[in-house]
Amino acid sequence: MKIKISGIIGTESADHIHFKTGGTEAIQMSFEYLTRLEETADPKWINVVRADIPVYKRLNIKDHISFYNKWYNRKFNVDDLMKQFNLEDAGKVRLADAGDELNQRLSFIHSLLCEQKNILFIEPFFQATRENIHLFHKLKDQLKDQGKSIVVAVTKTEDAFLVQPEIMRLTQHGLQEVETEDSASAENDNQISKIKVKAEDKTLFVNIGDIEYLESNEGKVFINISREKFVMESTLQEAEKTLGSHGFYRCHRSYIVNLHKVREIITWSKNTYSVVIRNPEESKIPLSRTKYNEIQERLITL
Amino acid sequence: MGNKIIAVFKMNAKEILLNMSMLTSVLLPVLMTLMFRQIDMVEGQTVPFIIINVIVGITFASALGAIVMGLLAEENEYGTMDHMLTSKKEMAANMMGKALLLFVITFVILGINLIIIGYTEMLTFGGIPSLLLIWLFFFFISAGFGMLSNSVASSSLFIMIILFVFAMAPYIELLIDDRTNMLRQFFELTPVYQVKFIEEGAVAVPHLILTVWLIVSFIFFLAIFSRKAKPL
Repeated sequence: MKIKISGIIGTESADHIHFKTGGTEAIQMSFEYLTRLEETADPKWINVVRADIPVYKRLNIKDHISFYNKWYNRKFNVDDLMKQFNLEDAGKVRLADAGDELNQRLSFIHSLLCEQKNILFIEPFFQATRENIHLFHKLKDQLKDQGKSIVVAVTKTEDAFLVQPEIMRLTQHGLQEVETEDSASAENDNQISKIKVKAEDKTLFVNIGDIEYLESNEGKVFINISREKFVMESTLQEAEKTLGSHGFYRCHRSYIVNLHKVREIITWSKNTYSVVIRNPEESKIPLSRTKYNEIQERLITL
Repeated sequence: MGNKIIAVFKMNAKEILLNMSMLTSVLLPVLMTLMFRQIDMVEGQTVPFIIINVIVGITFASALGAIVMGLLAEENEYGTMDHMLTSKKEMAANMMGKALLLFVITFVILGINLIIIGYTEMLTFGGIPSLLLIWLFFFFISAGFGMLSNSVASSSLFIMIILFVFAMAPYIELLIDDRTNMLRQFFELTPVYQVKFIEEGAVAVPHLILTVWLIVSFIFFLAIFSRKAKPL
């Protein structure tokens, strides 16, 4: 099963989004492309999993799971499914009172029970709880065991890295692999306290200590400071040199994180790790497999 | 296919039980019958056939028409079934699940009403075919309107049409005396009105009229169903 890229980006391209049996693709794209992809996906062959699965609001979670099980003629034990998705205590909760977290778990169960062999997840990590991200990884393995193919479409690069270390990016030029090799780290001991950033037509000077993380996206470096994004006029490698001595660490080819703002490290699966930032959104920054041990040492000796 | 029909049957049964508006639609004909029965007891006379006829009409309109329209309109409004239906066959299973459930509900309610009012002759061998034809007519017309409704609110208009044009057709006798009046003649051709002619002894013509209504409603249902199934 494949989807032609040209229909999504609006220009000629020979590329396709492939649904490979038992395989997983994580693709970062703009919101516009994401919407078009969702519209392009033929429900006959592709089950589109959105966080807000439409439900009968008056019925409870267990009723819904029983309905899916019966409709798709699956022989799953409903209680076991509820246990697997941590819904044992929520069985009697009406969907009108369930909230986004439980609703997303229901959409996960639906993807497991549905007849389609191809599953397209749309923004599964948007405002997802940590519990649900863990459940997503369990689900991913289960879908693979069923021989189903998975494509995860997200707008944020760091969300794509929550799926797996190898990700793709869909741009107007087509589908490209995002390099994830790590470049050599650079050390610099200069003692500056502020750096220059651009915000539209203004030039601002931000305190280095306030920076949460830096990300490189399509040739630009963005600085993230409490929900705001600024453009930094340098490469990520130059930024690493400048900020290295201020407790910043290149945790991924495309990310530099302020170690002082790191709250914890999460292991999602064998090769997928995230650094969680101490901010209200608990931003999850990808951590390369090869940096897993080193960052822990840096955090201890900070 | 069978599993899907049963799944819809169970799911919609729970939905009707938990949805106060739908539960009211199911129980309303029984409450009305009890009310009419009360009048009968006060006057000490038998209930006029026009009342029985209207009770039959309201049972079909409320316990069948309003429910099937409400279920389909709500599915359209919230997209609850859209992501599950990927073929015409699955759409048909959804309809058949509803039909099976509402067949049981309608005839249980109708039976209760006729027992309350003391008119069980209609449930005999002679009356059943006409009731089946009326049931099919109400199901197809209501399901067609239900598929056309984008929201529960917009289905209200269609419920009014079903209720006042088809269910309460026998009341036209009280409003228009003149049998040559075009409006009265039209109402005399409506499905529920045929019950009166069958009661009076006619067999072939009322059943023929009911069959024509059934064909018309089925064509209407099929046209809406095909239009809705087009993207699948």
